[in-house]
Amino acid sequence: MVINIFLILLCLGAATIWYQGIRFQKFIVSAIILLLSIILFYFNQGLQSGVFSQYSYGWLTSKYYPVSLDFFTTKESYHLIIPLLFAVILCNFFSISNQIERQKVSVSALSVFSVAALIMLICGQNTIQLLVSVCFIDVLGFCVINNINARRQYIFYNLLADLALFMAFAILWGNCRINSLVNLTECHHSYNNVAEWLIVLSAWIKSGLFPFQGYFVRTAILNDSRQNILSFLSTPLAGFLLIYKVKSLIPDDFIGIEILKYAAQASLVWGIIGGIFINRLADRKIYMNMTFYGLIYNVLFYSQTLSREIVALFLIHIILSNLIRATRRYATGIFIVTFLVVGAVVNAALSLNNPIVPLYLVAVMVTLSGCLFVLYSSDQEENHWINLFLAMGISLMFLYGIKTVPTSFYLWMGGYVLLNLLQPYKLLTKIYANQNIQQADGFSKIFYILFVSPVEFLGRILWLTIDFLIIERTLLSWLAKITGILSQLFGYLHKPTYKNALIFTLIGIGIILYSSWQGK
Amino acid sequence: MLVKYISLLPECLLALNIIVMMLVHLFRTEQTPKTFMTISKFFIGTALVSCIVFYNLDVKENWYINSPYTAFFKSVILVTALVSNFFAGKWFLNQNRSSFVYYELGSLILVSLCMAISCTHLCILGVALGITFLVGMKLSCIGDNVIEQDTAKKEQLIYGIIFGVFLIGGIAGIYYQTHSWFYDEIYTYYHQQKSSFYDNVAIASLIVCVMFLMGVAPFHLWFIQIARRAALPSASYLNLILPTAGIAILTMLIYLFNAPESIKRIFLICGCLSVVLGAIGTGNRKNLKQIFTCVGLFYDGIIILLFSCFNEKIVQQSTIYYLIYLISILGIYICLYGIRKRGEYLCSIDDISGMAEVKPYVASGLLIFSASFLGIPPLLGMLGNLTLVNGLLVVKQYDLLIFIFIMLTFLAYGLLKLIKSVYFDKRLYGFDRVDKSVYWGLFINACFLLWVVTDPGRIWANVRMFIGTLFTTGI
Amino acid sequence: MEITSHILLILMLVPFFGFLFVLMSQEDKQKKIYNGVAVAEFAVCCNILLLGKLLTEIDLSQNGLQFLSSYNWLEQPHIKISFGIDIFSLMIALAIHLMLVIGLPFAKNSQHPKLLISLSLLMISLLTGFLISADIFSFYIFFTAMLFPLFVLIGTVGEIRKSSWMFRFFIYNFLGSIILFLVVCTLYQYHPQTEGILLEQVAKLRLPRIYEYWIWGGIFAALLSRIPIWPFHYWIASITGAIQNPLAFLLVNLIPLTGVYGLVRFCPKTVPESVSYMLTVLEIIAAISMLFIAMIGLINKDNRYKLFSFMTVYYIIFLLGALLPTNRILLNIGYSIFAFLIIITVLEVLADYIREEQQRNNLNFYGILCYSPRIALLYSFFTLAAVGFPLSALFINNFVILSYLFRYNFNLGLVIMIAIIVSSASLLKELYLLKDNRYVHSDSVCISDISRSVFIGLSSIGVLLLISFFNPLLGIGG
Repeated sequence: MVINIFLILLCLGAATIWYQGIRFQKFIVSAIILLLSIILFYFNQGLQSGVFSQYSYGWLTSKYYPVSLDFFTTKESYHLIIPLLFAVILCNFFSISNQIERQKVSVSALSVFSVAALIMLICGQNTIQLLVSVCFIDVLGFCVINNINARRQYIFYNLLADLALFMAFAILWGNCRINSLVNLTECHHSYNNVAEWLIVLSAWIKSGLFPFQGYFVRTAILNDSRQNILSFLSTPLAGFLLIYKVKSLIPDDFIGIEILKYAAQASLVWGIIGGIFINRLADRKIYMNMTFYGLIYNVLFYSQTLSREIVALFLIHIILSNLIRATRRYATGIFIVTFLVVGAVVNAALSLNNPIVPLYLVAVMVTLSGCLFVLYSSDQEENHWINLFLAMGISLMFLYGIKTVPTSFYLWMGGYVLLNLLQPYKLLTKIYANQNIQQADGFSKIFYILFVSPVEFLGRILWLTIDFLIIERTLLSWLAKITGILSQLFGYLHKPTYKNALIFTLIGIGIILYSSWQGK
Repeated sequence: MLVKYISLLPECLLALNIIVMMLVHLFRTEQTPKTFMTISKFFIGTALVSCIVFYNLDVKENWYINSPYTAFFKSVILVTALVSNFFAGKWFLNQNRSSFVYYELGSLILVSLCMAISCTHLCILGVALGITFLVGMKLSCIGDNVIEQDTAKKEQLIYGIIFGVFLIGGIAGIYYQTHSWFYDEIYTYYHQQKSSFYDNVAIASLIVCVMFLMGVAPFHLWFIQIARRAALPSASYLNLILPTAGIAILTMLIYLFNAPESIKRIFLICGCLSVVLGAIGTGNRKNLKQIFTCVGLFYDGIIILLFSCFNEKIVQQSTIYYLIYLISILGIYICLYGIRKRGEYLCSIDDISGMAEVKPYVASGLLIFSASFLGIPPLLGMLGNLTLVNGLLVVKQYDLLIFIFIMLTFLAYGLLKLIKSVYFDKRLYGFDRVDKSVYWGLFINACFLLWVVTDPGRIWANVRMFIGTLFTTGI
Repeated sequence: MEITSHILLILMLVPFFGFLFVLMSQEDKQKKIYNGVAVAEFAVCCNILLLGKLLTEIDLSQNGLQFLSSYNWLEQPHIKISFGIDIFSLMIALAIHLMLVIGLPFAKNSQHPKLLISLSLLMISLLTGFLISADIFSFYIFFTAMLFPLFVLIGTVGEIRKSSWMFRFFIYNFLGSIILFLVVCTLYQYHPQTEGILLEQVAKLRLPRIYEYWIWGGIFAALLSRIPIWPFHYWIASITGAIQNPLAFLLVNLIPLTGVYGLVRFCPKTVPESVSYMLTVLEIIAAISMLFIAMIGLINKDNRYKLFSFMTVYYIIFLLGALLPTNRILLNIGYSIFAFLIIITVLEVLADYIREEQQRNNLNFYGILCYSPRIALLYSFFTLAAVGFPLSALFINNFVILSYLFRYNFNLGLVIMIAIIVSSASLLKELYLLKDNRYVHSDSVCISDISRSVFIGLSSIGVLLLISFFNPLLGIGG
């Protein structure tokens, strides 16, 4: 079943990626959506009918390192792939209305390829398949990005992540000779710890969690269609799925997982901060997406499974993030209605007893509120922000349930009064006008100073001292000088003068006498 | 009776060559450079044939020997002379000069050297060596202007005196010790008793004369100076013929004197000096003839070093080594005959800048033969290095081996400068059309090189057989 | 007699005759040499077909060299010239021929096309001979014979300004050759064999202790002289940075491959215990060299130097993989080298095209690819393949090699990964600069994109690499 879907997606992508024409873009994308819907329906039918299968392709048949590509149709794979298909339909749907994107069909094809690669990742039963699919997703992400600065950061961050993963699996393979995920739990070696750290680091960077959000935030420069693919069908999701797949290998008490949890939480907080302080809508969207990944990592580490509510939240999040650019006329209404839906879902999700979920909601609300503020602020109606804040408070009451109203209500009213007194929108206006804050990419600069600059500095020092000073100026120049001296001496001794003839003759006589004396 | 002396035919023919050329020069009105080239070609060719045909016919006199050993070396010298004379004839034709002096003196040198190789009498040896040296100095003056002739005369005087002192001193000293002129008695004398200090000095003086003729350090200065000054035919002739004959004579003499330790020590010191000076000189000199004289100095030095571990196998190895060098240096001189500008033969390294652009085959020849000098496979030099290394490994002279190959890198530096000038530097002016005979010469040399490289065993076996007769049949 | 018994000799001689033909061909007034290019391509394609035939006939289950043929050469010492081939050398030979196929069309525009093409053919002939050598003497012959043609190549076509660099290059390699020659002669002297000494027999010879040190030390020194191991990397680093022609650059950078190949052939897995410490020292020095050269590549602005440092890092990886006490990854090294050489060739020809266009139009280097989609696509693809993304056989085979390296010595593996990261970052930085459009204006002059035929040709090379990724053992088992 899965293999069929995989191959159909590959063919669909291959058939459509070459189209470069300007006409019929929307029509073709619509056709792709239709096809994807049919595939989704068909796939769902398979789940309903209980169609399960195990398909394995023997890719490398070497007796020393056999590798197969597995496409097992299991319940778990159904539960993971169906949301993906929904997601790609949604992303393509929003792409149709995107006036800025000229290459809708190519972008759509790339989204289809990304889903295929994610399916390969989901179905992977061995480390090689995981590694290959993660790298493919990176390459596709690279193709999606059409801005050089965004590409640069993207590729550098993901290269590091991929090499870390490469190294982790190479260590595991080299020491244990096992690449099957199931059997890897039997691998016990002194360097297992290193491999675990590397896997965690790889997922951390790929998902753009704090403080590695630099490349993720930079994708805000792209248009919405491409942003959607990168945010929901590319490396951040791949990083999450990677951890999801290999979590059984990593011990529960591994400190790396704890750190990753905190990083996810920090991403949430950072998303809120970004949602408040960053001016551009596109950037806010990315910060909001960042908070989503902070949410799902925490959910995974707390509950070890992905509930249907979280999956539904994923899809709703996609819708929400695409509504950020909605026009003013409908924005407020759409936001509030959607928020109510979200609220209902989250209420159900709260049964998981995860404190992160409300924090996520706060992040979403803050972002949306901020977006509305940006949309309406040109009318100089700054109070809209505060009024929306009030609306948020009402929604929170709805979330926490009526029985907790009194405490939270009073807290909320207090907050409302405080806001009216402080009038933070004036401060925000100043922050929005400050380009240094808006364009600051502090973490990238920190990484550059901490890691890249020392390497460059060391390289320069080594070149100067060893290549230039020691080898070129010292060793080689000495050799050249010695050769030059010998050559000059030869030239001097072989000048056609009587003195030289005499010298050589005397040397000859000396040799004769010395040898004769020694030889007697 | 005449049959007994038929082995003297080569020398007689060469002597006749001198007389005929003299007569032609005196009495024939129409003389061109080709006239003397043809005459000498005929006589030298016939001498060569007779040498080969009668290679093992001995005259059985106590002043002369004809064995496969002597026949071999004489053949090599005659072949070299033939080739050298052929191209020299072209040179004289192009320069529109009389070639009589060159061919006459060249033939005289040939006669002297053939006598020196085959004689078993000290006086004959002395006379032959003396004539060779004096005639060689005279030969080097061909093409000199008036000022250079004055300088040449002074040089001839000085070096003549030095050479004469060593030669006469050596021969007189040996006679004084052995009371005999003949080789068989001298052989018996030195094989029956240990040599004294005066014995050593006398032997050394004579040996040094031969080394002087070969241009081995520290007696190489005259050789390098005449290489600069002499015309191309003279320089090539002397550089090719003298060392070849020198090796033959030297081998004979060392065998004669039972290879005393003093001589081995001289060989060691002089060999090292030659190798060092030859290697450094190749990089220092700008004159092409001097460059290749320094290359010759380097190789002669290696031969001398090999002689410091004198035994039958070493002699065979060194002869093969030298022959390989000879083929390459012959090729180099053929190339030099092809480099002309406005009728003038170019001799400076700066003059041939960028030559490869217009004369690719001549440049390729220079490249191939230079690579051969360095022992780059699959050229002939690799075989030479193989014989050299095998020879030294057998006698366990590892330090000599390392020394030689270190100096080879210095030699490489010098030859690379030449290649750089030919191939990499910008061409300054045009070159004259190359004579077809140069291309033919290079082609034949290359074919011979290819033949030797692909099937060396057969040739090596024959060479070893010829050289070995010195030790089997004796003097 | 079966044709396959002399096929190896034919493999070596075909490009050699091509060399002679091109050398004697005439140039027209514009110094164009269309016949020469055609002959060269014909010769190389013939060889590729022959290699293809060998590929179909080779028996992968058999260890050691196959299609052995011997020719008696010398009696004293008894030297037999032997040729043989296995899948490892076959892959490298194929890669080298493909390199020339890719690089030759770009040779037409050189200032000395005839010399370039003829010397390239000669180099291919000598390299093929080197790869098919089965005995130590023929190994030495081809090991040394390639020095002079390379010297002439870099001096004329490479247009190196400083002659001291060229001399240094030659003399340094010449010293290595001399050492190897002395070792070979010593072996023949003390172990005369009636059938010659095959490469794989060297490790099995019983030698006194002092000879062991000399023989193995000499072999390592001679082969390492070819590889840019610190602190003896300077000769090739200075030459590489100065060479102006892409084909010359590629041929010069095949020199380290000869050193790696030699070390593979002499099978240090069975090296005597008394000299096994040399391997440890060698590994440490190799690791330091990798890091050192990778770092210098990062700071160096010259694209050629970056490519050189990248190549050096990978050569040393292959070297370290070859030195492991196992035979299992030999095939992986071979396939990696195959993909690696092709990637480097394409990158170099594209980079050279960009450089030429830049100089011709007097353009800024930054953002030069912004309006040239074909080159941009190809350059990006091959750069990503070079840094290790799964776009070629390099990916999976490097994974296996690194796995073994980690197993053998974790710290060494760590150093290697750092070097890979640094050199990959260096290449990606280059790609970024070429596509950085901050300095490009809509009215700026652009470089002309490559022609469609060239694009299709290079794309098909990309497809070949992709196929090699999907089927790294090329369907012939493993």
